[in-house]
Amino acid sequence: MPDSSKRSASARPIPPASGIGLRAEHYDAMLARRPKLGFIEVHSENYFGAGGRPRAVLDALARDYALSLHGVGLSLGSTDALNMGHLARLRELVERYSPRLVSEHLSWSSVDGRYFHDLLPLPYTEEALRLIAERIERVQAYLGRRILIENLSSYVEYSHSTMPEWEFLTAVAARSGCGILLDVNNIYVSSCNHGFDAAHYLRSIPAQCVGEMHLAGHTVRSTPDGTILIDTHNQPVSAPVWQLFELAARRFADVPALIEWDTDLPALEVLLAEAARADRAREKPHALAA
Amino acid sequence: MLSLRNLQRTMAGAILQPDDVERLDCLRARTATAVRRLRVYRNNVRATLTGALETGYPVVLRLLGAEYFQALALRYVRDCPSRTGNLIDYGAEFPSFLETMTELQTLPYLPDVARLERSMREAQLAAEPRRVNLEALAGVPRCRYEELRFAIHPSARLFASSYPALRIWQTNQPGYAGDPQVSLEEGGDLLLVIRRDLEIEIERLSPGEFTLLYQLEQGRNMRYACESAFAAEPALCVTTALRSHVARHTICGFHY
Repeated sequence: MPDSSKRSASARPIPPASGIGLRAEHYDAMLARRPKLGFIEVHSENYFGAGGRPRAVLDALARDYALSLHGVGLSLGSTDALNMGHLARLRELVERYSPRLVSEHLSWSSVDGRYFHDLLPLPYTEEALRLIAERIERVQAYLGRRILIENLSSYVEYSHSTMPEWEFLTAVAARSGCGILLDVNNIYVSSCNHGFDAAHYLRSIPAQCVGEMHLAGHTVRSTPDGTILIDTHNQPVSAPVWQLFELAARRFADVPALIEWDTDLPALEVLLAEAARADRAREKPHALAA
Repeated sequence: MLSLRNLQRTMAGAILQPDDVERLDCLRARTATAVRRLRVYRNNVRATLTGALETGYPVVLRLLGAEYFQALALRYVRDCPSRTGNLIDYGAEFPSFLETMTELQTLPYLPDVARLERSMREAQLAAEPRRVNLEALAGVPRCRYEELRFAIHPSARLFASSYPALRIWQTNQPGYAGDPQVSLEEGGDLLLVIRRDLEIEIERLSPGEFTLLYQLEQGRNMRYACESAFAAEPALCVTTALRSHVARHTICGFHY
């Protein structure tokens, strides 16, 4: 069993200032302007290529910014064998950049060797818990470091789940010793899609496990049997998610937050303004307390 | 209750074909709702994979038009699943897939244009070469010249087409202002695709130069490479060709 005092100390290697997800569309603007940010986060897989512009840009920016590597393709929850080729490429990146944070998802995205490139939910059962916790332990041993695991947006729930997602996520962290990357937008999206209390989710996550938070925009779509929220990362963070974030920022006071924007990318300024807003939302509780 | 493995297999099928789902007891929602929810996943998967093909093959997209490209891309997504967790790897078989499409026989050059685009993509992300002092070549004794073997830049891709693939590619670049007409009578292309200073360059090679670089890339020694190159182009000046490719980092190492 990992030592929990060490775990909470290593959970927050980034000061609680906000960062942005770095995407290729903003390479030039970032290199030219070097805006003040708590950290930058990249999708690990986009830097799996051994050379070229992505690596050159990351080499330059990693000198000036704290870096977080966020994986989307490891398929941790899959019943296939762990993809060691993928993991080897990730380890090479980790060794090259010594990132402050490394994260992946509480999901599966492949079966029988076929990859869907989407984050699919697990049933929240003892069987799934054993599988993913054991695989996270193997990944952490292989990388020689702790990783964070992120909750996802989901559109379906399984009838044989025996516990709610927050309980499953907490148990994954307790068993594997991993930290939690809490995506506040994903909590909100799933809470609307499945009808649970988002604030209760937040309150159920042990504060010392959380090493990072995510914020992003989602899309609301009407269907014949009600609305469905889709995690699209193509617009500003919505008002209810900001509200939930204020609650999260009080509970996870010293945890850095990240703005994610992946499609229909606006100018860099828009992302910086969202990050600044996250910083202000974080200051609010302190102002009230003073 | 399904085992996790069977659940994942069931879900994989349901995500690929949500409209074929009659009932799915493993999901909490009633069937009509479940199908609607599964379509969200199906749409995500399709959009991500066809989007990767659009990003990787912009000239093929332009030549076919968005609607037709999308239909072909969906067939490719169905027939050629992604086999890695890295989206950038996806679409390597797209040129060969285009070749098998009988309906595309009126565009015989299309697979080669796709191959050219794939080469460029690979060149963009290939490893950096190891830094070697090529001036040390001057110290190689003349009697060992025939045994020399050269390392080619890891991003270099040698590409032969029976069609004017480069002109087709160039005339389909955004903002291209030259003569848009390409005649297939112009003949084939022998091309070098390479990344230099982070930029992709495509250059036409003479038959001898192409053969020389090809044989060197295959790990052949200079004697063999030169014999092949002279067979392809008796008038080739090997010294000029080598100097030029050493100076421009196509050749970036040697041993003997």
